[in-house]
Amino acid sequence: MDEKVLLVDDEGEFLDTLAERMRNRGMEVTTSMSAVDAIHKTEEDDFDVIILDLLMPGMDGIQALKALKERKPDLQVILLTGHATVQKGVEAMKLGAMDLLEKPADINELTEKIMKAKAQKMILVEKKAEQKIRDILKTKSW
Amino acid sequence: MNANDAALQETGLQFFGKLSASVSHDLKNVLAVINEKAGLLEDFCYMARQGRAIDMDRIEAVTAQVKGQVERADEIIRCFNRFAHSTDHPVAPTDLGQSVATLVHLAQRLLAQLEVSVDVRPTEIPVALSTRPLMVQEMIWACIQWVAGHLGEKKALSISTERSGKGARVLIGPVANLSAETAAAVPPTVTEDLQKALNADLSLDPASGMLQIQLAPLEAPP
Repeated sequence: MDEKVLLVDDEGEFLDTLAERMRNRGMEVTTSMSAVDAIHKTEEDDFDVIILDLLMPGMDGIQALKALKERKPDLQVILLTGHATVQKGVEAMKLGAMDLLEKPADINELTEKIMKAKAQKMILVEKKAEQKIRDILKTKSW
Repeated sequence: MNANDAALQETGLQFFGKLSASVSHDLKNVLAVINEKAGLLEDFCYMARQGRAIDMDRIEAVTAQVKGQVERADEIIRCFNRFAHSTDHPVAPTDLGQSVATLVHLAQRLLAQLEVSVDVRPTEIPVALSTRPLMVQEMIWACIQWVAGHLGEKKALSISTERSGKGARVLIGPVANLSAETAAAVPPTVTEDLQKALNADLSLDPASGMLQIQLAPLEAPP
């Protein structure tokens, strides 16, 4: 496994421990304790998936999701929440989140979703690459 | 029950619900940490069975962290229990200092979302007052939120309680950039009915910038 993950949560102990467990499973994990810092990190680096806490001081998960998707529409985002409601789930999906998980989350379930997220991202990257090739072929008509 | 009483009951319930939801969120976070720590210990066991050396210091540290989270949850629940019992009697002798400390402890996440730090000044002797225990906390919370929206760059406020004649006073602030409009504006969520029910008077001291809640004692219903 070599998924590149950005983990965002204001609860330090939760963040550090989950990051360690994910690294033990072969993932490359970067952590962030705020949505603002997470947005900066996504501008500096490319991630397969972002795991984002819904309720954080300052900018919350929904606002962060909007901001992230505006900058990088192909970004795969999984939201973590202490209380998953249908309303929140619908709002998150409408904004482009890949999934919504309730805390405490099962790491196996989370890992599966991360792998799906990476696969989804690869499909999007491939589609873009194919489109680029088609565009080049159109312009260069030999 | 008249319309004013019904409105007061409704806002009181909304306040109780909001704090309860915040507490449940905090406890979920504690469970999430404990869940990950337990998972990490499971991971260590798995690694040990695969032949990797066990780091006993690490295991001790993780179990100590779990205990720390249990203490954290215990404190939250203790405060929440105190808060829940504030509904036992409509009017009761109330330790105002303890009520403020309990309220601020339970509202930590809500205050963090406002990005405000709160310093609860301890009282040397308890400030006891016969009042409506839940309603007075509702008013104090409304005042904290209002002051939080009128702070300076530092985004820090202090809360203190003190005896004031036969009654008591709660001071919250300081409000920054005090203007005539701010000084005249009582927190909009503190209705006249709420003030009347608590025999309370709100004012802003222009010199200190502190919002003052002056409370007179109430008589318990027969």
